Amino acid sequence: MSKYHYYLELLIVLISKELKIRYKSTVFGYLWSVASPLAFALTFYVVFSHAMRIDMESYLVFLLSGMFPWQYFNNSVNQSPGVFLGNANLIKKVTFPRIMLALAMIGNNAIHFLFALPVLFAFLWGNDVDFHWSNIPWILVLFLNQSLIVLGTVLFVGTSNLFFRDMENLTQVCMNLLFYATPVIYPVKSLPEQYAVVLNLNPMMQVTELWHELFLKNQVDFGLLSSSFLYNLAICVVGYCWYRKMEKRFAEVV
Amino acid sequence: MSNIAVSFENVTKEYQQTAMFEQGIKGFILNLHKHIQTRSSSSYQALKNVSFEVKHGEFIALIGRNGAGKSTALGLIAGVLHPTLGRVAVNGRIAPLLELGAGFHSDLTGRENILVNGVLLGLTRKEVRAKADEIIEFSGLGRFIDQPMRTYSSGMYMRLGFSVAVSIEPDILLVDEVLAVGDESFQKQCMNKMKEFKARGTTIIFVTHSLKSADDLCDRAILLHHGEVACIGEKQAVYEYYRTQID
Ligand SMILES: Nc1ncnc2c1ncn2[C@@H]1O[C@H](COP(=O)(O)OP(=O)(O)O)[C@@H](O)[C@H]1O
Ligand SMILES: [Mg+2]
Repeated sequence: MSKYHYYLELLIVLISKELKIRYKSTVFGYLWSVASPLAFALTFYVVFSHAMRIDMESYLVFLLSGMFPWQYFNNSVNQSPGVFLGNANLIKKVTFPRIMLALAMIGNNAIHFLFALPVLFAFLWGNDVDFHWSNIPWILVLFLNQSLIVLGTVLFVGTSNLFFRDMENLTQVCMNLLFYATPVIYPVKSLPEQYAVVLNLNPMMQVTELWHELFLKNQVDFGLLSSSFLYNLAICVVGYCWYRKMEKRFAEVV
Repeated sequence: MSNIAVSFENVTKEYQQTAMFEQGIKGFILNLHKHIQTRSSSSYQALKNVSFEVKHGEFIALIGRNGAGKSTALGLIAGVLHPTLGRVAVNGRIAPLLELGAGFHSDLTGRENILVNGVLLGLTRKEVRAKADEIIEFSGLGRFIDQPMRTYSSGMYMRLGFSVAVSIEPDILLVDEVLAVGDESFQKQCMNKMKEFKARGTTIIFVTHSLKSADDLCDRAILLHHGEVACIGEKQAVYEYYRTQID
C-alpha cells in the first residue's frame, strides 16, 4: 500500500466521520447548509431593496451568487481555530500528517457548498438569468481557486491558535469585517476608486467578482482569474509553510 | 542492528515553557520585555541525555515517579514528539495506547469509531472491516457496540481502545498507564493478550508506577528519575533500586 493511497483512505474516513457527526446531531442536516446562506441573502435583499431602495437589476440572484461561495470560505475559516486544537487527543496519540484534519474539515464544507449549488441554479433560472450548463467546469475551476485561500487561511489560523489561544475571537472579528469588505452585498462598481488599492488586498474580492461574472454573465475574465490565482496561491503557500514549520511541535502544545 | 526495536541515543527532550503564550496575544505583548529577558531559561528538560536500547520481542517496564518523563519517552517512540537533541530510532509498526479513549468521538457508535481509529492507526478501511468482528468480540461490548460512545463508561472506552490497538498486530505496543481503568476481568484479558503478543515476538513497552501489574510478564525495566535513566536492567534489581533509593 503506497503512502498516498493510505492518505486518501484517511481523508475519506475523516470526512465521512465529520459528515456522520453533522447528520447525527441535526435533523435537517443538509437543509441547514442551504438555509443559512438563503436566510442571509433574503435578509439583505429585504433590507436593501425595500428599506434602503437600492435599485439594481436581479439583486436577489446577485446576492445569492456571492453568498454561497462566501459561506464556504466563512464556515471553513470560522471552524479553523479548532481544527487542530479540537483534535488534541488524536494529535498526541498518532502520527498522521496533521494537514489531513484541515483537509477533512474543508472537504466537509466543500461538499456542502457544492451540494447547495442546485439551489442557486434554481434561483438563477427562476429569475431569468440564463446560466449555461457548459460553464459547469468553470465552477470547478473557481472552486479550486477559492479553495487555495481557504486552505492557506485554515492552516494559518489553525496553527496559530495552538500558540495564541485567542485566535478564535480575533478570527470572528476579522471575518465580520471582511464580509463587508467583500462585494457580496454590493457590486464592485459601487466602490469609490480611491479605495480600490486597499480593498483589493482582500483576496475574496477578486474571487467574488469571478463568481458574479460566471453566474450572472456566463463570463470568465482570464486576467482576473490569473491574478486571483497567483494571489491565492501565495496565501496558500504562506499558510502551508507556517504549518510545516510548527507541525513538529503540535503534540507538545495542544 | 536489525534486532533492535527501539533505540535512544543521547536523547534530550526540551519543552518550551508555554507561559509565554498562555495569556494570548495581549498577555504576550504586555509581557514582551519579560519574555525577551527570560528567553534562554524558558525551557524545561523532560529527558536529559537518555540512551537505551530495546530488542525485538522484549517486554520492558518503564517506571518512575509522576513527571519523570515516561510519557515523553513513549511520545518520542510513537513519533508524535521529536527529540531536541539525539536520535530516536524505531523499527516496526507501532500501536500506541497512550491515552484513554483517544481518537474516539462520543457521538459516533463503537462500531463507527473502530473504523476511524483503525484507519488512524495505519490500516485501510478494508482491513479494518475484515477485523471488525474480532475487535468487537475481544472488547466484549456486545450489543453496546452500536450505541453512541457517550453512553460508555471509562472502562468500556478502554476496552475498545485496547481492542483496536491490538488488532493491528503491531511489532511494538506502547502502553501508558491505561489498563488500570478496566475491571479485573478485562485486566486479566489484557494481560493474557500481552502474553500472547510476547509469545509471538511483539515488543511491548509498558509504563507503570504500580510495580505489581507487569511483574510476571516483563523481562527488563528502565527506571526514569527526573528525566534521566537512573537504573536499567533485570527487573528485580531495578524494582529493588526504586524501592530503596527513590520511593
Ligand atoms: N507538553 C508539555 N509542555 C511542557 N511541559 C511538559 C509537557 N508534557 C510534559 N511536560 C513536563 O515534562 C515532565 C515529564 O512529563 P511526563 O513525560 O508526562 O511524565 P510522566 O509520564 O513520567 O509522569 C513533567 O515535569 C511535565 O510537567
Ligand atoms: Mg505519564
